[in-house]
Amino acid sequence: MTTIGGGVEVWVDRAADPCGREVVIFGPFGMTATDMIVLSVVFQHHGFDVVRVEMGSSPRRAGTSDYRLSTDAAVVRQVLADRPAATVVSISLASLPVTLALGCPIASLVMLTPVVDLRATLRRVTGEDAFALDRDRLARHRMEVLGIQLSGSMALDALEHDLVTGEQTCDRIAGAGFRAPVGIVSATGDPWVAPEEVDALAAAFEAGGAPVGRTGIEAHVHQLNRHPRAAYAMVNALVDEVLASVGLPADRPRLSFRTLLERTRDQRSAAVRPELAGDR
Amino acid sequence: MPPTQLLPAAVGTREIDHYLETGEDVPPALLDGWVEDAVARACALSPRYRAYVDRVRSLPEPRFDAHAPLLPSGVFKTGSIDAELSEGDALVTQSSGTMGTRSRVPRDDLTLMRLLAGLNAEIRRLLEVESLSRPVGVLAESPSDDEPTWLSYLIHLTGAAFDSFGLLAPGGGFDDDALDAFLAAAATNVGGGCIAGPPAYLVDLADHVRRRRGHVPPETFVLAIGGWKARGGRVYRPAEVRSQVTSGLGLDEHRFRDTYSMVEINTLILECRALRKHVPTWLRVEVLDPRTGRRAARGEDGVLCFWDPTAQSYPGFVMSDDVGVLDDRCSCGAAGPVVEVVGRVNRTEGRGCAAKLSDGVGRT
Repeated sequence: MTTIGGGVEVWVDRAADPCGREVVIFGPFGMTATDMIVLSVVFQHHGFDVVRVEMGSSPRRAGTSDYRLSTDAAVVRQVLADRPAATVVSISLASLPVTLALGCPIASLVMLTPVVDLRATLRRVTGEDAFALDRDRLARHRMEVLGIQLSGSMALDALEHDLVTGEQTCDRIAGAGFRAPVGIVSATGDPWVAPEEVDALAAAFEAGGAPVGRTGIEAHVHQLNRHPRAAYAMVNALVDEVLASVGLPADRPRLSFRTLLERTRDQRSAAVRPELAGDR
Repeated sequence: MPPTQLLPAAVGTREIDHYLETGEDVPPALLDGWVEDAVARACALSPRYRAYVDRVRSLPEPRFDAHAPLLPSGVFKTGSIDAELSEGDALVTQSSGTMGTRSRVPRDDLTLMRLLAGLNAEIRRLLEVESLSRPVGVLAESPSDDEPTWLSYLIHLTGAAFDSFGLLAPGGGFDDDALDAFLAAAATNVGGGCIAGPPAYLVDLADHVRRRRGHVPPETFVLAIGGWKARGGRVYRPAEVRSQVTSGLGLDEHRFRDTYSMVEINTLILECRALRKHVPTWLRVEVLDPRTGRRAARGEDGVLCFWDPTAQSYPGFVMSDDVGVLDDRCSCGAAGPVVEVVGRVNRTEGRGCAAKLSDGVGRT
């Protein structure tokens, strides 16, 4: 976690034609806050101010190998402490640290391709079941996930916080008393997250008292950066779920893929300095 | 359980998109079917292309490309193709015009999505990197949103997909602040960085970095995108550029990867770790013997011809102005033939060859 004076670096993108709402994006494992500009561009187009957060697994981080879900949960809490009216968007693995931080004030929560069962997903990604190891061996175990070398600290941290199985994740959610609107956007053929895991996640939020909206995209994908077509469909569905979660109509035309690329390129090349969250 | 609203991923030919996105090798029979589908779609889009196909197929002596008649690249310079196809929100991309006139090729959203998916897949396959979340130093002027040049668009596409730093100063030369920011970002990035640009700019940048004693992380890749001509008509030799750039930046030579593309195809061909250009398995390439108008034998040089079924908004079947040779073997083990570009078509002979192939176009 990059901290300056106790704060967390965030990048804030302001909508040109604001709707008065704010979205905070917690990005997926192995990607940077800058990689989230493409998503930010779509939300800005729909009038949202967007906060992009650098997560602990970002390849920009010197300490990536010691990545821990609980450290990211601390980042989530710090960022949201300043933004009680924000809609939270979590992508892929970020669903788990967000789950640890459900006690924060959150206006609504929308999860894109959420990871629910860490053990199962890691097994599908790496081909090995690290959690089958005993604690001592797990502590020494190193694994490579999407090109990033991880020490055993991530697995031990997940054990410590009961975030290893889907059942544990769902128990935590159901018991969190989270009642803000929830949206879930997933691919029906996600190779890393089984549909029944997403079903269980949705049921857990409902059991806890949250209204849940769901969109399934008929695609066999998880890593959206590899699949521009499916990513485009999923991002549009994500925006629709966010709009629905805050009670706004989907009344602005969608950006074409071409325009999305052009605006992303322009925003990437405009140097935006990070702000600090959580140090006020 | 809350009900789930089900939506399709997108329009398009799902099979081809699946292969592009997963990077799986395409079986040749499947590729034949995609080319066939692409011909039918191009005929539906363009009455002129349809007439051309009919004419080619009615020739008394069957032409080697009768299944999917090739368009000489010059046809894209006449405006006859894009005028028919550029309806709607298609992005018209142009060649750089180094031969005097510019090709204009319209690309719709699906064509652009496939370009990006294919680029992602080939970077994973041939650069052998899992994560492309790395800073990209871009050596090209910002493309105009209105009919950008293909070279500039391709280079900036890598920048749109990844974390880009425009390294050229608006008035000429390099933007040292941007260069320092790029090098700092690459230094702290797990996979280093990537620098993309035309060979001539890469040579100058390497020299500039060396003089400023800048440090480039050893994992950094350099992608040469664009032609080998430079200021004053000087033609760079690939080996010389590779050596100058990698020594200037302090990189191993295999971190420098040359690329091949042209505005008329929707694919970027990359070098593998053995520094040879692999044709992706979704792109069909043949070498035409200009003397006979027939397919050249493997290992013999001739005019490079491409059938790119990823192009949705224009016929991606083109006879290039480049002379090359194909080889089926490469020490890296990656699938797909290896193409070596050995020169440009002799203009007289090339025009003759192009004229022969475009005979039908001119009369329709």
